[in-house]
Parts: sequence; C-alpha cells; structure tokens
Amino acid sequence: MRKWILLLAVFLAACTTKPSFTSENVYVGTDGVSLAFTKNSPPAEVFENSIFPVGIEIWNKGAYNVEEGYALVNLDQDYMEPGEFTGSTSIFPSDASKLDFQLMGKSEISQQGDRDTIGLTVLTKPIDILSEKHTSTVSVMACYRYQTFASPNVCIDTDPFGIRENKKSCTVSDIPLTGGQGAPVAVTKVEVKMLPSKSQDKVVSQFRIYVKNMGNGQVVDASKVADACSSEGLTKSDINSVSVSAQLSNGIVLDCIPKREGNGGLEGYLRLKGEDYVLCNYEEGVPMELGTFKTTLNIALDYGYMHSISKDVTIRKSAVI
Amino acid sequence: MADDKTSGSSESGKKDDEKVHSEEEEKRLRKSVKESLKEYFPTFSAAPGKVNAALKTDVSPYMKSFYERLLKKEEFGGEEKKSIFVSLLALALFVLVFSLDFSGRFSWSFYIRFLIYLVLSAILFLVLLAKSKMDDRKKASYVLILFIYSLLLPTFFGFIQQYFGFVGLTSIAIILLLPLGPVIFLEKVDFMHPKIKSFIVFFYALVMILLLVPYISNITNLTAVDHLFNTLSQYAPQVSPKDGLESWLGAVDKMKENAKKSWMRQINYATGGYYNGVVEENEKEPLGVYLEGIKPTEKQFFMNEPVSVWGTLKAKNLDTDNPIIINLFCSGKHGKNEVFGSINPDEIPDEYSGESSPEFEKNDQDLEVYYLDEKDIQCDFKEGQLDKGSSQVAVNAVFNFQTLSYLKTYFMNLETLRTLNRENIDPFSQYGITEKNPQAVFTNGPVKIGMELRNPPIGISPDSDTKVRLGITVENRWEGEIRQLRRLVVYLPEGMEPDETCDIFEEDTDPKPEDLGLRNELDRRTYKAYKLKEIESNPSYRDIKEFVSVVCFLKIPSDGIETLLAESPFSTRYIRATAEYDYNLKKEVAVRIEPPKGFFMQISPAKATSADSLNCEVSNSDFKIKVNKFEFKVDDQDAITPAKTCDSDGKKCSITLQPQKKGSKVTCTVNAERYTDIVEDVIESGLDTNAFDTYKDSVEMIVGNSLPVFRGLAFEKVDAAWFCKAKVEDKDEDDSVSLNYRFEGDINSNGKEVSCSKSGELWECMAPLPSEDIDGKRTTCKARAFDGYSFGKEASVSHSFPLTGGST
Repeated sequence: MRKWILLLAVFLAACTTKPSFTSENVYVGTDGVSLAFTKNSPPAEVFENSIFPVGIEIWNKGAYNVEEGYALVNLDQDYMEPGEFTGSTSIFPSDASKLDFQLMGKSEISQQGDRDTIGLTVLTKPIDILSEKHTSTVSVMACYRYQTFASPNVCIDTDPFGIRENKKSCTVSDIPLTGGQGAPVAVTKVEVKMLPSKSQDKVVSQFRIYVKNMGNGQVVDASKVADACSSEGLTKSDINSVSVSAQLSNGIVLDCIPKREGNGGLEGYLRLKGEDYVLCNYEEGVPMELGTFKTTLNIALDYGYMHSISKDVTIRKSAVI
Repeated sequence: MADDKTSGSSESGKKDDEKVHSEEEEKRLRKSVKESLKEYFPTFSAAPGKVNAALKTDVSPYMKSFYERLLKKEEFGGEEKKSIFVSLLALALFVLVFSLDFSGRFSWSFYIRFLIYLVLSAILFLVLLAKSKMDDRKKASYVLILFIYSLLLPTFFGFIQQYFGFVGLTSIAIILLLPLGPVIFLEKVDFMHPKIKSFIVFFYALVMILLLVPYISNITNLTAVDHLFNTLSQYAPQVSPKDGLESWLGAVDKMKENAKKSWMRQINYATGGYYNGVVEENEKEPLGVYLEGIKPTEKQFFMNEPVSVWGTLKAKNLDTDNPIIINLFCSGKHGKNEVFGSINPDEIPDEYSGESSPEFEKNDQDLEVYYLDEKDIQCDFKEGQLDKGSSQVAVNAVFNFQTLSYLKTYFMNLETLRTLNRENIDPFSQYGITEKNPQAVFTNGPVKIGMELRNPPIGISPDSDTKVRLGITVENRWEGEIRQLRRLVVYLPEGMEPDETCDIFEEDTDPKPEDLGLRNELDRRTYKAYKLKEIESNPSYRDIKEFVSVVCFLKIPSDGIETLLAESPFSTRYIRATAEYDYNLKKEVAVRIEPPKGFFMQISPAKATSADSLNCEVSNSDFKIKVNKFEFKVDDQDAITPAKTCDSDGKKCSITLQPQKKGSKVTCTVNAERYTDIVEDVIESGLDTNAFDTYKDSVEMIVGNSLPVFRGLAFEKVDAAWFCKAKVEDKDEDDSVSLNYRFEGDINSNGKEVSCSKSGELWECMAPLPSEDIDGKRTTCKARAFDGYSFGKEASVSHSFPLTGGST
C-alpha cells in the first residue's frame, strides 16, 4: 500500500509544474544585499573641522528576505568622528551597537526588493599641523543571514542498466544551473546517479550538488553572522560554511554528507573552496516498478554573508595661516 | 683493407689538397680584393662592377659582408641623407629638452644666443658635410672632428651655469645629448673600420662617465663641476688644473662615500637596523629652511679686498605657534684654522657684544620665522681672512625644527586573521581596505622619521598579550647634519604600551599637543606619549650625518582588544613619532682669491692670537721690490725691526714677530719702492708710473685671545678615587681656566664644570668620576677647556677598569 502511495506521489509530482517560488523570474541573479554610498556622500574631498554626510544605501537585490542583518561604519578615528545619525540606531561600533536591519527580498509583488538609505554626518578632526592633507578611509560593512533555493527537475531512472524494454520517459543527465538563484551563493550544477541498492527491487538515487560563491563577499556560517560584524574571532569552521538540505518534491528528505551538528540534529553542510559539492542520497531507495520519471529536487542553502565597501576621503587643511 | 687504407689516405690527401687549394684561393682572392680596393676605394661610386664581381667570387664571410655594404651604399644613395636626418633629430631632441626645462627662466638673451650658436653650428656642419663631393673616407674624418668638437660643447655648461645655476637631470641630459648626434651619425659611416668606431664610442662613454661623476656623487654641490668645466672653458685661468683635479678627486671620494652610505643603509635595512618611510607630499613649498643660490659676489677676489658670498634664505613653517629660530654663520679656512665671516641679516639683538668667537658665531641667533620668510643673506670676510687661491666658504643655517611622522596600521582579531589566512582570504579586500601596506609618512623637512611594525593587519588576542617590534629611524635628508636631537616622542594609541623589555622610552608626563601634530590636545586624547630617555647626554643623538635607529617592543595587553578593535572586526590605528632637533644646514661655495695687482701688504694670521707669531709681508705682483723701512710696533713701545726675508725673485719680503700678549695693538709699517731699471715698456705705454713706483703703508691688528690647548688628558687615581685629569696650556694671562667635561659609556654623566689650578706653565684640572662602581666598566672622558673667553677643542680619553679595581 505504502509503495502505491509513494508511486502516486512521485507521479503527481512529475506532472506538476515548478513550485510557485521558482515560477517567477525573481530567482535569478547572484546579488544578495548590496551596499553603496549615495552620490558624493562621502565626498572625495573635505576640510578639517567640518561636517560631511555619509549616505549608505542597503538594498536587498536578492530573492530572499533578510531577517538578521547588521551594518557598521568604520571611521579613521584619528581624523573623523561620528556626528548625528539620522536614523534611530547608531551604527558605529564605538557606541557598542550595530545597526540591525531586515529587508524583504524580491518577490512577485516587489520586483526590486527592499532598500533603505541610512544618512549620518561625520565630523572631521584637525589634520596634523605640518600637513596639508590627509587621506582617510570610510568603510561600511554588512553581515546578514541569507538563503538560496534551487529546484531543478531531475530524472529518476530505476532501470539504470537498461534491462527493461519499456521506453524511458527521461534520461539521467547532469543538470547545469546557470545565472544564479537570486542569491550570492548559487547551486551551479546537479549530477544525478542511480546506484544499486542492497534491496533487489530498489535503486539508490544520488545527487551531487555543486555550490559556488558567485558574489564578491565572504560566506560565513549562518549562526555567526553577528560575530562576523564584530571583534569576535571567527574559526575555520565559521568561514565558507554553508548548510545544505535537499528533498524531493514529494517531501522525501535526502541524506546529505558531510554532516555536522546543526540546530535540528545532524545536517548536511559544505565548506566552500571555489566550487564544491555535497552528496545527497535517498538511501531507502526508489522502487524499480516506478519506472523512469521526472521529479523536482528542492535544494536549500543556508548561510551568512558579509561584504564591505569603502571610499577614500581626502581631508584638507581648512586654511593656511 | 690495404686498398681501403690507400683509398682512405687518398681521400684524406684529396681533402688536404682541397684545403690547401682553398687557403691559396682565399689568399689570392684577398690579394685581388686588396688591389681592387686600392684602385676603387677613393672613388668607390664609380666602381660598382668590381664590387659585384668580387661578390660573385667565393670570398670569406667578412669580406662578403664588407662588399655587400659597399654595394648597398652604392645602390641606395639615400642612406647618407637618412643618417643626417637622424643626427638632426638628436640635436632637435636636445633643443626640446633644453627649451622645456628653461621655459620658466628669464635670462633669455644668453640662452637664445647659446642655442643658436650651438644648433646652427652643428646643423651647418652636417649639412655641408652631406652636400660635399668628398669621398666617404674624408667625410668619416670630418665626423670624427665633429665628434671631438661636440665633446667640447658641454664645457660651455660651466658658462651657462654662471647665468642659470641649474643642476640635476637637465645637466646630465645636455651632457649626454650634445655628442649623441655625431655618434649616431658615426654609426652610419661605412668607411670607418669597426675598431675605430668602437674606440670612439668607448672614448665617448669614458668621457661621459668622467663628466658625470661629480653629478652622481653630489648632485647639489657643483663646486667640483665648476672647477672641472672652468678648467676647460674660458674661465680656465681662474682655476688651476691642480685645483680642478683635486675637486674632481674630491667628487669621486664623495661618490664613494655616498655609495658606502647607500650600501650601509641597505645592509641595515636587511638586518633590521633601518626603518623606512615616505615623505608627506606638500603641494605648496617644502618645509624647513633652505639656502638657495649661494654664490660669491665676484668671480674673483683679491687678497686686499673683502670676500663676500650671498644667496637667499627661505623658511617655511606651518606651526605658527613655534617659530623657527635660525642661527646663520659662515666659515672659511685660513691655514688649518676655521675663520668666521660676518653675516647679515642679524635681526635678533645679541646679548653678548664682545669679540665674536667660533662658539658665539655658531650659537648666535639671527632670525625668527613664524610662517614664511625669504631673505637675501650676505656673508663678508675681511681682507686677508681667507686663504689665497681656491677656497671653500660654507654658509650655515642652524635652526630648530621638528618632524612628525605617523605609521598607519591595522588590527583585527588574531583568531579571525589566522582563519582568513588559512582560507587564503585577503583580509584587506574583505574589509574594504585599499592601502594594504602603509609606510610611515613623515612631514617634509631636513629629517626623515621612518617607522616599521610587523606587516599589517596585526592580529590581537583576547586571551594573551601581543608583542610587536617597533623600529624607528631618524635620518638626515639634507646637506648638513642633525646637530642635536632634542626630543623623540612616540605616541601610542590606547590599548598599546611599551613592553617591559623596552627601557629606552619612558612615559612623557607632560606631552605637548603640537607633538601630536595638533593645536588642541583634546583632538586626539587617546594617545599616550613616551619619550626617549637621556637623549641630550647620549652622543649617538648628536652630529648625526646619516641616521640613528631605535628599536622597542610594544605590548598589546589581552584587554587591549576592546579598545583597539572597539567591537569592530577591523580597525585602523596610528603610531606617531615626533622629533625635535637642531639642524645645521650647510652650503659650500668656492671662491677664488688672487694676489692683488701692484703693491700689497698684510699681517698674517688676520686674526692672530697670543699663541701666534705674526708675519708681515709686502709684495708686488709684477716687479722686484726694494724695501726701505719694514718694522713692527707693539702698543706705544719702540719700533722692532726684525731681519727681513725676501723671495728669490725679489717680489715679496716679510718680517716675523714673536707672539704678543692678548689685547696688544701691533702695527706693521713698510716703505718700499720698485726697482726702476726694468719695465720700460710700462713707461713707454705712457702711464704715470709714480703711482706704483713707491709704496708706503701700515697695517695694524689687535692680538686676540688664544684658545686653551690640552697638553695631556688621562685617567688618574688619586687617594683611591678616579679622576679624568687634564693639563691645559693657555698662552693668555687669564685669571682662571675651567674644564667642561662629561663621561660616556658604561659610566655616564651629564656635562659638568670644574675649575683648574695653575701648576707652573700649565693649568691642571681634575674631573671626578661620577660613580664608584667602576669594576669591569669602560668609560670615555670628553672635555673642553674654557679660559673665560673661548672654549678650546674637545678632547677625549677612554679607560677600561678591570674587575679587580685596578687600571689597565
């Protein structure tokens, strides 16, 4: 009976179109949260003992919501100090607090994603007596938790050796995924293999999921997002670490390796070094009598991301006596 | 086999025959070519057929190549024009460089004349040569002449320099480019043997190197170049070849010295004893005090007239609260003594109005500059004060100045840094830092402060102290020396402090905000100041001609991470250093002092002291003289008439007087005439000879204070106590003599003074050792005697005390 239910579920899944979250075009691209200075804020040149604006645009250009995000501005303290902050929270680390932000990603309703602009004023301090100018750097850093979903259609072939005479509805092949999934970390390829099972009437389906950091920032562990934007130390396991989970469209959860201790027990994860892969198997096996069929493989990547921007500001002596 | 052997020997015989035949053929061909060449060489263009014929023959590769070149020359007649074009292009390049560099200068008339002369002469020569019908051998000879001529052109550089006083790259460009045209032309001349060409190029290179040596050795001091060029140019009579050679050798020594300095710097850098930095760019004028355009007022002085040099002093100071105090003085040589001229302006009233002494001149304050100043300065030496011949006059400006320096560095959590490094992630890119390897930046001026720390970012740990090594180099950048380093203060940001092992710095409890480059101390309140200990008493920080380095370990305590990183993953901080010092800027200029025309008398030394014998001399530059009266008079006493001595040519006579007491007025009187039985040509010329037939004159001088001189300096044990004992001779009858002394080495002391007691002809001074703990230590006693008027020269003696307490 159970076998028939599974067969029905697989059949129905194969007949449905893509799930709704992949049906829109918002799940493309490699952008996540982008940071940018607003025009001339900060300006390239300022005078000592003056005030200049710093405008920072934080824009979630990706397809996923940011529910935990931090931003901080780093100033050259010898030559600059924070002035008034136009928002409600100071984002200067010297005030022992970071700006935390939440930004909705692109969606069917909002094709652009949420964006926010933070304005603050910075006071320049006097430059050295014997100097005519000094160049300092204003840098802004953002750390946020993000996700990537990919849902490629995969072919499950329960007759990998071609013993049966039935015509197959699909052929097992590698599935390249180009252009990203609306997040800086993207699934780039899925390799599918059908392996013999211990059970004579089943085959094990194995998916080799390739993942790559396509953005210009750094991947951190999802649980270390806050630490990444602070003076806390980051260990080797905190960097380039991506949690991976995968399931077939009928809800069958695949077993991904390597594993590590996660929030809900052991979870698959990946240490990104360039393009890397994780192996996800359906160990229980697919009954052979299901024949060859197509189904959707839902892959979810969970990670933190950090990146920064900076601009050099030349502080000039206000007047030579 | 035998057949084979016979056959083999027959083959080898054939080969030998062929070889002999070939050699004979080669000889025959060479002879034929030689004869052919004799025939067509002078009128080569008429003999292409012979060349073609020779080419068809199996001649050696060298001769074949030679023929081909001949034929090419004949067939492609445009070659000659092309070479002239290249030559002209080189000259045009020279004109361009010259014009660009001098576009801002105003003495146009000479410049234009010079250019016209230079360029037209060369162009004319080359064009005429190209048009000429003469055969190529002769043309080659003329090119050789042009080449030698072009080598002489740089000698006019000395002449230009009189007008423009330029230095540096332009000079090098001119010297290199002037002869370049003919050299390029030379390359295109076919009829010159390659060896001769090589020789010419080699000769050219050699001459260029010799000419460039003074520039390379000292780009800003053109004294040697003056001499060298003047020797060759129209000013040659002013400078003897010997002087020119000496100057040149001096320049070579300077070059060796510079090379040695550079090498030592590299060695020190490699071994961690030299720390680098870059000067901060000031868009406006550079900071400090500059002496520019120092030159004599005349091309040549006579001994009976004062000698003056003048120039411009420029000073710029951005710290308007602390003026630059400038002490100007100029010095020259008279014999082995250093003599001082009077310098103007002197705008600061002198506290001391007595006779000037070297010590006074070197420390007298003359000018005060708050922001920007430019003054013409003049230095005058009295007649006879300087040596005859070529003499160096040094214009010195001693001024107080400060240099600020900062070294930007970055800090981050050590654990994160290690992780990023392991993952091969660049932390700078990660945190948006563009300046990845900041160098110490120091303010413009005579001194460089270089600083180095470990390569950033520096990882700091919340669990343990972090130690980093800070190296600081204080280096002389200008022509002069750091006379005294007065303060060296290091400012560390909050969260950093000197390590316990660093005992050369101590906390400066009274730091000045301006040392941090600030006017208001509240602007950067998070710094703590640490000053270098015992800087005034340490001889390493005096008279610094090159550089001095200090090294110190800094510590970032485990709790320093909170202040240094301030919750941020990455922070920028600065290490700052300030040096206050007295700088002695020195510019030297050569003056030429000739004996005057006609009669002349002088007493030497010009500033005689009670230690000097006095020599009174009368001379005539042209004629033999007859001295009728020649005597000394001291104060109101009777005249003294020592026996006179005259030169073999009878043009100069002198008398000598024993040393006199300080303050005595000595007058030398002479009555002389020229022998009238000569120089009838002067009379014939219609001149009135009475004016120079007889000569009556007197010169007087006041005998000055003589410097106290050491006649002995040694360590001596008296009643179980050790002293540095000095024996001082003072020719003046001064009431008292004292000894200024200090000890350096394992036993140190600041400068102290002790009175001396008269012992016979000498004064005895006993300087006690400051410490009784002397076992196994070594110290140097440095002392100067003072007679109430002047200090004598410093002397020193070192001594090692053995562990037993006895002396070695």
